[in-house]
Amino acid sequence: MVQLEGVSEIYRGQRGEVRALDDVSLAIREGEFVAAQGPSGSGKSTLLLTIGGMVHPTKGRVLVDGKDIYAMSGSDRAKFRAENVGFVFQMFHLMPYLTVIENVVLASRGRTKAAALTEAETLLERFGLSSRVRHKPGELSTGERQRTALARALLNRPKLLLADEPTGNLDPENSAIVMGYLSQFHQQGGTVIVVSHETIAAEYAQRVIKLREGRIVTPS
Amino acid sequence: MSTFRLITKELRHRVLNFLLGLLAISAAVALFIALLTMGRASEREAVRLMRDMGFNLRILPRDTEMEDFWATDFAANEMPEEYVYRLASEPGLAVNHLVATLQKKVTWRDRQVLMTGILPEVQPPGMPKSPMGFTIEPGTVYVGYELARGLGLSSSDEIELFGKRFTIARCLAESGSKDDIRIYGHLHDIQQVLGKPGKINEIKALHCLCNGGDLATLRDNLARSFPDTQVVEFRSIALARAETRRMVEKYAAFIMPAVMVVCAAWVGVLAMINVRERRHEIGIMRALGFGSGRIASLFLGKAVLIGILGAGVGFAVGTGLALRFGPGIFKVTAQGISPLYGLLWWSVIAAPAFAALASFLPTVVAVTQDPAVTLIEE
Repeated sequence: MVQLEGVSEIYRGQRGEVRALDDVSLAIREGEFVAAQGPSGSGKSTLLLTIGGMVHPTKGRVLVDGKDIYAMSGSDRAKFRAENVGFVFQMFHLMPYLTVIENVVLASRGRTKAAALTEAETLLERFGLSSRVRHKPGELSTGERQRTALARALLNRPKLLLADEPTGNLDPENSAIVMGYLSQFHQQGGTVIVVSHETIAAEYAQRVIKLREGRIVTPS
Repeated sequence: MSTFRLITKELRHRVLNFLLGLLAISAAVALFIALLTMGRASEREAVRLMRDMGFNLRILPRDTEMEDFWATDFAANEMPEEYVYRLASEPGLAVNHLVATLQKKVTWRDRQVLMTGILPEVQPPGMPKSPMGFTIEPGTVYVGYELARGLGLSSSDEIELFGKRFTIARCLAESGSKDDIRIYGHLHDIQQVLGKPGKINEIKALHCLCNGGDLATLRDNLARSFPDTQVVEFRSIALARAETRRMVEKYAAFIMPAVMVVCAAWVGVLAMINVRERRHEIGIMRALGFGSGRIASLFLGKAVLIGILGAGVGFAVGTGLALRFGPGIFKVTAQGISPLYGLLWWSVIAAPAFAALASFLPTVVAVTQDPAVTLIEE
């Protein structure tokens, strides 16, 4: 499903070169649930965004479903991302001026407005947000916001779900709920990659990858 | 969700940013509209005043002794009649209603008579205007009040002027001026009577203020093209108003670009703040598969929408300002100022283009910003 071949990502900052990823090679099978762990600055988020087609690596190739996503044009990569990849972030990144359901359908691709709304309502019901459909993100709890972001990520039924510290802002109860939904997605055949410095992700993952200074130190 | 809906929802969410942007565009448009509306009204007023007072330029042979000219009210010297045609076709001269005349004081039937030959008005090509004065048919004359009364002449009478017979087409009403002792005829008739074929001693004209013509420029142009002429201008209230208008236009020429720059910077800074504020939104849009074009359209579309609204508000405010303060500044009658609705359409085109241009750089920043940086920064 996902294959990284000698991927390096080098930032040139004011204090010189920073190797966010350093010659990383990795293979993740379809339907696998992988947790990437490591301290701050170890390159976890960069790894996730590189897999998601958001960070063009300085060196190496990223293959998703056998396609070199960085060989695609920017617009093709954007289309590929919209159709195949779902993102969940620690800070939710919901549009503050859109309601819950509008945030979810914002990601809609390849279906009518009515079909997108029906799908969004189903997802929101599944995530216990039926009563919050017309609310703005500012009126939601952090757990509800993350569940909304998760619904948005799942609307287009992606094959790959990438979650960057999805429980970083949540209490243990909501963390368990969100991880439970990620697990459900995985059980339905989806591929999940979660980066987190918390141990909860590892409890749900089939495989844990540890990163340090941009390198995978303990692939399991 | 459509781009328009996303824009309107964001506008309602960030009302202050929207209102400040709207204020900047409205202010720029209002200033433009107010100055143009008042300027046009003032121009119309000046043109009307000048038309009402008649010819305001007298083009004379260069060697005319001005002392004699003012004493007799006509030039003793002559110039070729063809000058009037050349003058009319000379490009870049802000004159029209050109009338060539030949005047000479003669004694006829023991009376002092001002023989005055008038050529029908000559207009610059492509500027047909209704004549300001009268046109005399060849073979006919108009007789001044005093002459007609003293000699017992009346309309349709036949008279002989130095061997040439004429029919009196009109006996003029009393004017209380030299006109009462004039005999007006067609220029070519009077040239023949006075033995001066192809000669004139004055061209009367209306100096057009509408094309931004000023006397200094006109004199320079005439001196270049017609070196053996000189120009005398009647000062008038119309000219005083035109000068007021020019003065305001001069200040406007400085103020407008300054206002444009300030407003463009204002809109640009607001757009940049908006981009900065929405960097996470842009990042997540990227993650959701929004292309650069869609993201650019969100920012440029917002600028265009603010521009359209600003055009409407600015037009209303600018027209209101012109109606309220125009009469005081430009000495134009209040009735003379009317809304220029044509400018509304121009505003609706120009203001959004201006706003989009001012937002261009922030849009480029939004499109080129690295989504990974904003999405990783938590």
